[in-house]
Amino acid sequence: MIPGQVLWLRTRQLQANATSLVAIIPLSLVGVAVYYFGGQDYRHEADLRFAALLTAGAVIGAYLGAQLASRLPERTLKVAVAVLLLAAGVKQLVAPGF
Amino acid sequence: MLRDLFILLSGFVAGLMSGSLGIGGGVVMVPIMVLGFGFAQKLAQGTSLAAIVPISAVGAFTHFREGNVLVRPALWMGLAGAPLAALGALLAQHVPGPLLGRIFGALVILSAYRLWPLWPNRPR
Repeated sequence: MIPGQVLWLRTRQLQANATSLVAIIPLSLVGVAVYYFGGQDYRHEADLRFAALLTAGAVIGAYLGAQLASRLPERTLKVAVAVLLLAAGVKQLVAPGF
Repeated sequence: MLRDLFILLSGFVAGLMSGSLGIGGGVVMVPIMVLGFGFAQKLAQGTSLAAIVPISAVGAFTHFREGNVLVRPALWMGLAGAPLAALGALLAQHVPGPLLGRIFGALVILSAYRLWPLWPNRPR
């Protein structure tokens, strides 16, 4: 029963993640089109070359991250990333760029 | 050249975090661009969106092949959300960069709060 539930819930979680990943594509596509073509004073508010390089790194990183996920110390990792995000967020909140 | 290497590395770190912890790419990539590369807030957000399209396409394709995608809900969410995404993006073009940066900062802090694994009575 419990293994069944765990398995079922995990499948549901997996399906939810996968489904939202698909839905994100049109949303970000529309978003980037507006940023690129609709910026004020005809500015392109998206650096496509930068994005391409980010993508190359991210695809490798995401693959490796998914492979390592079960072997990493999840709690420690979460604490570390949360602290980094908190610091970055506070910096952005009190002293934003331009 | 060295800058390109740092960009690749930033993508790698963002990918590693979302692959292992499941946090969204934009929350990591935008602060890296703003704080690490001196991007203006809008340019960082637009660039992050541009990177998220192919990154999620790769992830979605993998999941689709394994039969994890519920196709109809995905289409509905995508179709219903697209006009709102356009509206939000248009609105952002008219918000001054510093204010947009502060709002994004608050969002990043919220993500940190939600990621924090040490809250009591929280099943994880």
